Amino acid sequence: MGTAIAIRNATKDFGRKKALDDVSLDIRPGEFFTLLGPSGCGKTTLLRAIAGFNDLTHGEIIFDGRNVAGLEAWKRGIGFVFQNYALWPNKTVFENIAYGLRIRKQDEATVRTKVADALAMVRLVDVEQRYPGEMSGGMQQRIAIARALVVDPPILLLDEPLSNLDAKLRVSLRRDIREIQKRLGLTAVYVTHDQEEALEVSDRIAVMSQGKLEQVGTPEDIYERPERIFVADFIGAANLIKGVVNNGSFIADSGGTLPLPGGGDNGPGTLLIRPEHVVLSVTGGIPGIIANHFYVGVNRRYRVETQAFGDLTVDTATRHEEGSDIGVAFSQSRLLRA
Amino acid sequence: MSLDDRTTLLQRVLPLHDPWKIFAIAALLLISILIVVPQLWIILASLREDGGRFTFRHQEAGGRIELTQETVAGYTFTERDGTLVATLSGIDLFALSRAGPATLMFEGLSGPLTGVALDANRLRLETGGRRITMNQTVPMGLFGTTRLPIAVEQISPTRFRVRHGSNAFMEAIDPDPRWTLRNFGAFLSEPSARTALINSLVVTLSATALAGIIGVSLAWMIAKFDIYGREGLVVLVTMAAVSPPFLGAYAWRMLLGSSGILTQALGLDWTIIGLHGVIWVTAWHVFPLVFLLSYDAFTGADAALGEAAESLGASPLRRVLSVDLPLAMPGVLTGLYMALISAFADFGTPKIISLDLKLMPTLVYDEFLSEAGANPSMASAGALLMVAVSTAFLGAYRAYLSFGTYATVSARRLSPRKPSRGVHALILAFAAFILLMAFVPHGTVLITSFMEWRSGVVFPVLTLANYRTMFANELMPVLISLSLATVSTAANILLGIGIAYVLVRKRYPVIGPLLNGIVMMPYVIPGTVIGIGLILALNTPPLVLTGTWAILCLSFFIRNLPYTVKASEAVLFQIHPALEEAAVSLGATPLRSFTHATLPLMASGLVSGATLAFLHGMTELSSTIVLYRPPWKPMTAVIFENTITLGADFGIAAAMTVLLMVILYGPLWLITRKTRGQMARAGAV
Repeated sequence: MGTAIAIRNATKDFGRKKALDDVSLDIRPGEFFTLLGPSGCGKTTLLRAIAGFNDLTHGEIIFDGRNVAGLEAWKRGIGFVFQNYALWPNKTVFENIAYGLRIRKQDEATVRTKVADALAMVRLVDVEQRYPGEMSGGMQQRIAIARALVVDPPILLLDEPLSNLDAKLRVSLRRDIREIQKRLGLTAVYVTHDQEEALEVSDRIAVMSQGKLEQVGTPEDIYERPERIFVADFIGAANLIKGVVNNGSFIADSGGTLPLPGGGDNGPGTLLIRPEHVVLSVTGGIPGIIANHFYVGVNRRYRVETQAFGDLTVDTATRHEEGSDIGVAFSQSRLLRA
Repeated sequence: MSLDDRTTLLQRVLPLHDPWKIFAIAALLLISILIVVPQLWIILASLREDGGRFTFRHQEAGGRIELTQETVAGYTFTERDGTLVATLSGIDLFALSRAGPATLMFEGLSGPLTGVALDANRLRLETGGRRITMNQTVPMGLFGTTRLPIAVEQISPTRFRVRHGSNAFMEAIDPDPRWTLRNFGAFLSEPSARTALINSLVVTLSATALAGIIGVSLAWMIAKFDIYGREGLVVLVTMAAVSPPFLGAYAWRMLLGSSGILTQALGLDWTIIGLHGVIWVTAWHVFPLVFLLSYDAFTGADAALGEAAESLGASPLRRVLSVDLPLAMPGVLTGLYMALISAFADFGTPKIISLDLKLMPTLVYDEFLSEAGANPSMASAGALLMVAVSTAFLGAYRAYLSFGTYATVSARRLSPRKPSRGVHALILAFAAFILLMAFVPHGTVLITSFMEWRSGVVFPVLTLANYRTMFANELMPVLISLSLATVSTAANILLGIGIAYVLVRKRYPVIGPLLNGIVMMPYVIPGTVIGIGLILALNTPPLVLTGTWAILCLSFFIRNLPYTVKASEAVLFQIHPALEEAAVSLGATPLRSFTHATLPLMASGLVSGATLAFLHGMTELSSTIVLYRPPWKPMTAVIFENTITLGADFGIAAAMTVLLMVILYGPLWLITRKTRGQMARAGAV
């Protein structure tokens, strides 16, 4: 398996602040790769560096074995989809999509065919002569995707393309984007701060924080086997319990003790327990009280106060009254060191 | 150093890969030459003092050396036992004494002294680093005195003897200028300059205060209440905002001057001539700026903020004082600041209201161009003082704004309330009074342009003669004004777009801040000063442009540059950079992506900026008056001359002003209806 985009020691200084701090990554051909992190983590800076919109303070970006340092953005031949669509309001939909073809001096018949194909691909019809301003956000973003793809770029970069859209549209469009990407065999780099979106569409995810790479892996790796506290906390809901490991046991700062089946070296650590891995029982377990109950549709979510492990967030289908005593057990846990 | 290293170095020095950087450097060079260099010339001129001169006569009768006091400049002389000691800049330079009939003795007091007879009538002296040339003029007396050529005899390194014609007048000139700070002291110690400074400050502050009271209160009423003809009123005030700067002065003087129409008709023994008149006219000239910016500020504030105050129990008055006014403050203040600097720099109003009244712009103009003894050094010192005052205004304004930012994103605009009948009537009356005062000048000029004028006095006879004379004799100024305004506006827009783009999007280190700083300089430099700077800088080879069409065009270009750059910046901020990046990602070069994606979107937004530059160009007076020379005489200069010259043809001035108003208001009317407010905002920095 080759490497479509290799990033080596990418660093970007904005004044004193490091927007990117020594990031190295390999993105494989045909992969749907997501850069995920809170705002200001450097994900967009990295994406724009790949596109050539901004340069790196140091480090290298290599496309398919070719170092693109000093190669201007307009010579890189990548497709880019913007958060705010960036459609030209003074051009029709047809002229927006045809733009890249005209720059490549394609003849009019080819332009017509390719624009029609691109529109069909994003499932739009009869919009060629309309202006972007007359259309909904979802349609505009579809047109922007068609405009980026009409010139057959090997790489598609997407900068939070769905964050200006409403919730339902986000879900359907992200599935369409992944479907198109797989069909065309593109390498896609997708930037988002929405962890649910990242988990659903990505082949692999790079979680970033404060300019640094926290973890790279498949959605399963990231969710089930986070390596760092930041990742565990950022992806999904998490109970993070601080404590120390002592001879095969975890001793929480709040006093509770748990056997650690995997063992682990002695020293401070944090235990990650996902809310769905907390089991509530009226018959036994670590004693606690149901402090709050939140109805969230598919599940019920509780805040349970325990003496041994502090406040815990619990997801379960069963019904418990606020204020009632309850027993708590953990079906899965993971020890984190940093 | 390898070849590769050298290529990168070359690329760094010459950024050939980045056309915008090349443009930025070129623009920086150009505006440095046009804006910074003239100011440096002014500074140089203000620090120069002519070398000095004196004339004396060596009289045989009584054997005296007689100094002609009124010819002494630069030097000071003291007499000790028949010896004259010449002092320059506090240093005793040489002593001069009689050494026999038609013989003088020179003695160097600060080092060696040399003397050379250049020819029969000229002598050159050198001592203490100064050169002095002396000319001998020998009167041919009744008794036919012998006329002797100058002869020099060196006696010691510091002394020499000069023989010359009997009773000769000797005129001495030091041709080398000296560097000194005395001009500033001299300027400030001169009573007329002190008066001018005080007058200027009094006029500026009182006129701005008056304009503030009128403008802010009207703006608040119109923003708050749903008044009949609200939109029309705003359009009318916008039109008043761009009336020619001298129009008010000229019309008010025509009405209430010492031989004014109203003064004579009503037999008043009171006239508008004087400081009070300048304040009154200036206030009406600058109030539209205050009104438009305050109106925008009052209507732009988020209505929810005021409602929040009311929901917490604030009374209407308290709401105004604690929420509405503080929120609108930055806008109101910007309006007041703009009124302040334009009142301070206004040349036409004080000059037209009274020829004798001295304010800073008129004083500097007189010092620079006066037929009786122009003094560029003093004028330059005064010019720098003006720049200092308006920079101080800017500093105060910026300091106030930096105390806190009140920027609000307007979610929902204030919807005006229906006033009660009485309030409605009162506001309408107030607005009508303001409009009446604002348009008195326009009406006066329009009416008198159709009347007969005979040697500066109007007769109630309707005639088209003024227009006939104007079209027959004075068509050139119209063409000159139109071409100046058009060409300078085009140059402003071209360069303005480019500079704004570089400032907003490229943010180059060093070049960007420098460019921004220099572009904004004309904002605080009064027009008179710009004119003087251009004359000083472009009066010597390689570029001699004084008195040409080009120098006027340059001046208009410079004066409007801050406005067009700011207007272009405002438009650019509305256009998302991603629009251009989208084109780049599809393979468009930087220039192509700019012309395809950004430029078309900027065009519509720039109409108001261009209109403003054109209107400024058509009505420019304060630098025109310093710069123009026949035959390149714009309309404003013709009008101005015909207003201030005694017995000149007021009729022509009136007819030409009407023509100027037609040229201004025709296009403006159409544009204002679409883009009201943008114009005023374009001026806010």
